[in-house]
Amino acid sequence: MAPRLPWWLVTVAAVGIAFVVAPVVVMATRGDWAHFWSLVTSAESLDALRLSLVTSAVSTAVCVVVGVPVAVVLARTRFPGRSVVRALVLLPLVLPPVVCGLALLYAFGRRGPIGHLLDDAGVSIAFTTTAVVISHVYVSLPFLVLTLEGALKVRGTGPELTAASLGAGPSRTFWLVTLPSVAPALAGGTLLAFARSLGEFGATLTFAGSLQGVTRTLPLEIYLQRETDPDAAVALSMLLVVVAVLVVALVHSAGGTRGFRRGLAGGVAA
Amino acid sequence: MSAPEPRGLRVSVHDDVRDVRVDLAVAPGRTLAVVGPNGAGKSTLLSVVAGLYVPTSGRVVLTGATDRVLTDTGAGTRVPPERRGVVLLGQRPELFGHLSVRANVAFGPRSAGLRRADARHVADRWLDAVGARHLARRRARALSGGQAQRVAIARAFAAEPSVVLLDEPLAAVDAPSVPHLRDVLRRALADATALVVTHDVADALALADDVVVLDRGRVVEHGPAAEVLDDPRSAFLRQLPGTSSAGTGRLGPVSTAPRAQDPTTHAGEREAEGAEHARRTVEEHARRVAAALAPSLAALGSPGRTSELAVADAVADPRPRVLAADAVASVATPGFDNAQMDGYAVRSADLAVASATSPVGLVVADPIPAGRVGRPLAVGTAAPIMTGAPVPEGADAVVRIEDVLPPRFGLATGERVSFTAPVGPGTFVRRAGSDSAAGDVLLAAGSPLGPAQLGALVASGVAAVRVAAPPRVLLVSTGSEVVAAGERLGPGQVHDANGASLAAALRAVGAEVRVRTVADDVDAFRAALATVGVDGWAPDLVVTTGGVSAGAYEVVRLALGAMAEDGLADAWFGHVAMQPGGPQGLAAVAVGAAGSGGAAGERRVPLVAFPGNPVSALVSFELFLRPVLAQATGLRPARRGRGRAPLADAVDSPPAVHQVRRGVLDDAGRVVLVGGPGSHLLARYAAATVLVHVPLGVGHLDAGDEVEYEEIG
Repeated sequence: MAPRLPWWLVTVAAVGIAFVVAPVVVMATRGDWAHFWSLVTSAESLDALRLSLVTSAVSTAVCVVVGVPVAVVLARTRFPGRSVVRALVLLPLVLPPVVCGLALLYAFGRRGPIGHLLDDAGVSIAFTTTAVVISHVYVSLPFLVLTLEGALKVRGTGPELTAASLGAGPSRTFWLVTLPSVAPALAGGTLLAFARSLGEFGATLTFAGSLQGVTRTLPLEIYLQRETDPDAAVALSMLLVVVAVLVVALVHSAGGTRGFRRGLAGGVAA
Repeated sequence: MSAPEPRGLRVSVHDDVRDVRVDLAVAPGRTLAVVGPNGAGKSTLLSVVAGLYVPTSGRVVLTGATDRVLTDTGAGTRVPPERRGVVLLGQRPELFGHLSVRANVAFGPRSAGLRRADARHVADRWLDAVGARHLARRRARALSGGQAQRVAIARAFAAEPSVVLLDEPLAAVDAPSVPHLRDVLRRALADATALVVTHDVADALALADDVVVLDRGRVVEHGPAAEVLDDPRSAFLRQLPGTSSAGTGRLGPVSTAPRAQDPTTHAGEREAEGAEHARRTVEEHARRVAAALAPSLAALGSPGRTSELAVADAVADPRPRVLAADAVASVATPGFDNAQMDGYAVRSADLAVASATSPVGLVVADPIPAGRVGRPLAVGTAAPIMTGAPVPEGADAVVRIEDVLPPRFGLATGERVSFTAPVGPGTFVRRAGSDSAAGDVLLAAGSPLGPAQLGALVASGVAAVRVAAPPRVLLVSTGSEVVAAGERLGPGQVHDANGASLAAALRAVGAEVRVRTVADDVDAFRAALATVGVDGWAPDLVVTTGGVSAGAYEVVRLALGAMAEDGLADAWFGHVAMQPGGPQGLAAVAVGAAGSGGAAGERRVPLVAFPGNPVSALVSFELFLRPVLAQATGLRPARRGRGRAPLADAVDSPPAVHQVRRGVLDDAGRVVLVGGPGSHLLARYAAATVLVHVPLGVGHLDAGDEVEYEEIG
């Protein structure tokens, strides 16, 4: 039997839960459900939905490719200033997204050092779909890194030492032991990154702008519709709510956020 | 495919960071156990060999036809862990949970470049070897602890390493799984070169050929496993030096003897320590003890030591005794002719013509019961007579009742009885003096005086006999912590269980025993020997317990060493290939006034030194003293009842020793062992009814295998 809790604590908890759930529920009741389908299938909505899914998928893939090595290096190596590097890599997690967008704009914008080089090479990034992906990756990467790094640290280096002891070189050990053994955390981190991308608003708006079919993702579309057609905004919002609920359920069933939560705790402690 | 020829290992670690200075070598195919307290440097040693830690100075070399240097800080060589051919098996299995059991075991072969099918073949072979083939398709994370460690063992050996490192391999396994896993490991290690770090003496004994004891980063003890670990109380735990003696007992480089060599070659290693170690078999030591005791025991029957004993007293107080002189019958037995059967006493001449066709009829005379003398038998008569009754005068034969007509008693005196056959004179008559005539030697000198002998003496009218003296045994229990039975215990003190159990055992075989408890002090020990004869009670034998191991302060060894220098003793101390009870001593020592330099002539008596552990001491008594003493005192049978019976459970024993286990026979006639091999609990021994012999050279017996046992209770 669970130990008894003080009544005031339970009361506050109930208020807190209601506070989180109630707005979504209330919003759902205000939706124009009779026209839901036509609202979410308007040309603007479909453009935004398609763009959001594509950019989120691409940015998530980039996150995995870049984030796994970052997580392994952070979890498995010691070098001077490692904790500083780690804190900086996780910076986008705590920065306001609009600040992230501004930073990206200054780095990759036409007058920024990187953007300038790219511009000379004939590539312009700002206000393109690529810019959307870049801003998504920028804000989503810490989620994957944190989740994976936490899992690796929790698991320790035992399996890698064992594999080496059995004659497996570093690459073989990475592919056959390290990666498979943190597969649940990787899946969890990937889903978190995807969800974060899907909901990204501030950095995208700042760095990529709001061009229908090019940079206007679903959250941007919702924000825009809110001014002109609140019913459409609510309908699209409900779409995002459903996706978010699905992601949360998936991640929890896989137990993959354990590493994220632990990593977050470690990040706070550090 | 065949395993590569095993390589040897040579390790030299001189690390300033962790203050470890260890040099050791393991011969190809041998297993070296590394024991010692926490912080002794065991883990550092394994890490260095595995290539996980680089000491400030050190070398790790795989020896063989061509040496292969794995680590050499001088030359900057450090072969990475995966290319060293060194597999580390830790206390936790560390299986790859996402892989199947088979894939786990095949991991090493696959990493070595084997094709999938070949690797699978190797894996299955090893899974068979550890008895885990049925688990092959299971996911590794779904195994129990014992199963997982079994698979980990298979995986380690499937990688076909040159050297296997085991770090407390059984420490995290559930107790019930330990014996089986230990056996699995033992088999796997049979031909492997291995280092095994363990804190468990049983593991070290079962798995290792040799042992090094590390303490504070230094080797403080080494040698064959059975010898070093035989008596943990002294050779193992006591050998771990405390702060005060940290500077002593350190050794130079350690090597294990090559496998091919005879175990006795370890003697050479031990000599390097300055100890006169030698290794004897149980049989040889028993022979030497018997030879050393023979003169003393023979003297028990000499004229000065014998005494006159009334037979009636012997009957009232039966104990083992032997005759010192022949017992001569003073009366003949039987004292008169008597009937050997129930029947008719007859004159044989009367029946000379009797036959089945023409039976002879005789007149029935008065019957003769036992204890009554009948009247003389007249011609033509037959007297009914009972077994043991005196045959009447005139009669010279007895015809059995079933051979006459009618074949039963009950005819009245004067009736006629018929005989159908002649009878020879003397038939069924026991003649007077036919057992022994007066003046015959009834029992020769040296005969034991048991129930049958006492009966014969009484029957022959012998009132008193001359018997040999019982052997006088001075039993000296050593140990500063030992307090005589019944006295109050101070802190850290124990009661003298050795004195109690050995005194009882000695008295049970007919010895006269005095017990002395002596502290670990050479002078006290010498004083105990010197003062023993002052009241005229001179011992024929001295038995000591404790103080015989190779420890730093072993009072019996030191005292006898000192007495030998004074010309008062000849002593041998060494190891007998047995478990428990390896450290033993045998000496001839001056006792009584001679020991204190008095004028009395020197008298040397045999001294038998047993180890201090109560179980070791009692087992030693059973093996070396009891048979000899029982023979001398007249206890019969002199040897314990022996038999062979199947084992109820499998048993492991270091092949280098004769293991004596304690056990009981269950209802199915199987031997069930009581307590472990290293059980030093006398209480466990007390529950046993048999000693079980696992002879030299036998390392493992399965349940159902026959063992020899000896009945002890």
